[in-house]
Amino acid sequence: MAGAPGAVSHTEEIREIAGVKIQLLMGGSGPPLLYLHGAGVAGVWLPFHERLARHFTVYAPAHPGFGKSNDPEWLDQIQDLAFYYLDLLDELKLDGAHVVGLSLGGWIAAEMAVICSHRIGRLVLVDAAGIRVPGVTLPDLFAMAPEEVMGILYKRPEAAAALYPKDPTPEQLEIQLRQRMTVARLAWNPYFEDPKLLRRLRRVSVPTLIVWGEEDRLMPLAHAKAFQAAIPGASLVVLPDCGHVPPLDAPEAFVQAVTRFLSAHEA
Amino acid sequence: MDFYYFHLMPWPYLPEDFDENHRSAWVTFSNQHYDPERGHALYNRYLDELEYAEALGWDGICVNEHHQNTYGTMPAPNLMAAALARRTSRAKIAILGNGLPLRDHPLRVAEEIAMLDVMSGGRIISGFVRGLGAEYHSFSMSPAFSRERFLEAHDLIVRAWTEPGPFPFDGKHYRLRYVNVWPRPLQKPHPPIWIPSQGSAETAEWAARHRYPYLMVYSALAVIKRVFGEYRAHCERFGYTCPPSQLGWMALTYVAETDRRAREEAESHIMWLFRRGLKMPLEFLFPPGYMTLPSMLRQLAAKDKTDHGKRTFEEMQEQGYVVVGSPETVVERIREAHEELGFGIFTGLHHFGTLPHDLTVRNMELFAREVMPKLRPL
Repeated sequence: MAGAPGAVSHTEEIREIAGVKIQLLMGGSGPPLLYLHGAGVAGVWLPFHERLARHFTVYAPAHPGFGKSNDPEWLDQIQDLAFYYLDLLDELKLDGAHVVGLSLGGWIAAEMAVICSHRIGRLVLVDAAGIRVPGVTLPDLFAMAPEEVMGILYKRPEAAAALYPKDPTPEQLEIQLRQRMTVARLAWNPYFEDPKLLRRLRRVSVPTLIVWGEEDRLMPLAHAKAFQAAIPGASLVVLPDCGHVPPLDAPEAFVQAVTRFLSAHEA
Repeated sequence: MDFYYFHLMPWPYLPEDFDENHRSAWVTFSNQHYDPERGHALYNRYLDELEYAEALGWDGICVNEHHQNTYGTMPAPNLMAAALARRTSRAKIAILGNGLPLRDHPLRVAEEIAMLDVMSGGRIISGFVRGLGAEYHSFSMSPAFSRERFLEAHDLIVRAWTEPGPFPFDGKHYRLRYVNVWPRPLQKPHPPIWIPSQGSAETAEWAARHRYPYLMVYSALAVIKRVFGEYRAHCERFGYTCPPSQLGWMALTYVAETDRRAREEAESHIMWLFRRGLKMPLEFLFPPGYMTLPSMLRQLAAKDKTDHGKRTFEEMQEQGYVVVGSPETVVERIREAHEELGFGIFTGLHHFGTLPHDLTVRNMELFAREVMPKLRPL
């Protein structure tokens, strides 16, 4: 579709991949990039996707159990999603795809890289969940009212408010409830953590960038440093004035950090 | 009609600033507010009240399980049942119930209930529950697996009680090579199983399929009527007609000489239960996955369970959460409800919140003397 210079189109479809009907958003051209969303917002094509799509062919599925994707009955731990996405890479024949994951999606991405680094181009973990840092107690999102959760996640909650409608349509409400149920399956206890992951991160053998909101109040910077220390050769970019969700809190800085890292290694 | 006397054993001594400064009586309300010295006196008083119910003619006495809260201080109801088993001789002892998904090892429930049944000479009624949503916060246990763990633990326990051991059990959550529970329960085929519920559609169907008595708690009569209707329809679908003995109604019940006196004496203690004892944020009450998606949607649409704290005394009386008045009034209210709902089990909460011992005893005596005999034949 024609538009402003550099604008790209995206498609959305419900499609059976690796045995699950999932909602797949796709757009752009260039090397493949699999974007794995966090626990809150799924199945929506946002401006940061659009910007990434200027440089990459962006695949942005809603995870099984999220958005308009189905709920497979086998889904009850995070590795299920890591294996699912490795299957998806095979089925879509995406070789050397970069994997960029935010929060819960970062956790999935890290698990994928631990299992099967050679299927991945490069890895970007954005305020990723999945590890526990001694001495850090994470706030309990499950015990908080929605407004409190927004305050924890976002530096600028108002920028994200439209994605969490106060009076959701029945369809939106159903998606919200289903997603929370899925998160409760995956991350209640251990809380957003795979106790085995931190030790196994030494297996990650692809170039890795860690991007972190300096003011992340859910997973503080100590987590970024622990990821960096555990992954051989990983670099860290800290985004100032940014909370747990850089793609929404600081979209420009986020996209710039990601494209710079992924492009620099293209040569 | 059969009469069951239900006690929650609340912790009534809240700090003065509770209403202003504490958002919950559950999960996070500090145990520094519990005083074991007073607790000692309180446990013994509450057990006395349960034992007295047997002496006054109740058919059964009931205890239950809740964790980390001021509403009910019985995290281990089987302990209370054990104490009662040795101090009573006739009444049924109904544990309403054990929170099955909260156990890492359901055979512990099978063992304890079997022990109690043997000790008590076959007087145990074994309620099975999932606990409130808040328990899943208190136990840091994912509510998303609550229902499947409940169903699987139930299957395991019933098989452990009825099939010759040892046998293997291969579930999703529980895998056991040697299921071989000693002792076996005294009652045949096993102690009656009751299902207390707030009316989830899935639970009503499941209980009807197993012919388990279904006990509605903290619900408006209109809701109970709908749910009992669904339960009865399920019974028909499963090939039998629901007898009254399979339906139970639980209500806060208080009797005094006159309607006016009854309300004066009971109101503040009833309000304590709804406004303080049950005070908790929605996130504690309905954690994600605790209910199925259809039930959660129905719940949100009804907004019924979410506003206990906002209901006035009059509304609670009108809607049937509480039955308060003179003996004549209370007889009439229960008779009307019976006509409407057709239950065969009346479970009264004759102590609630901060109600003192003397009023509790008088309430019980008046109910036993003036109310129970008139309703017995129903």
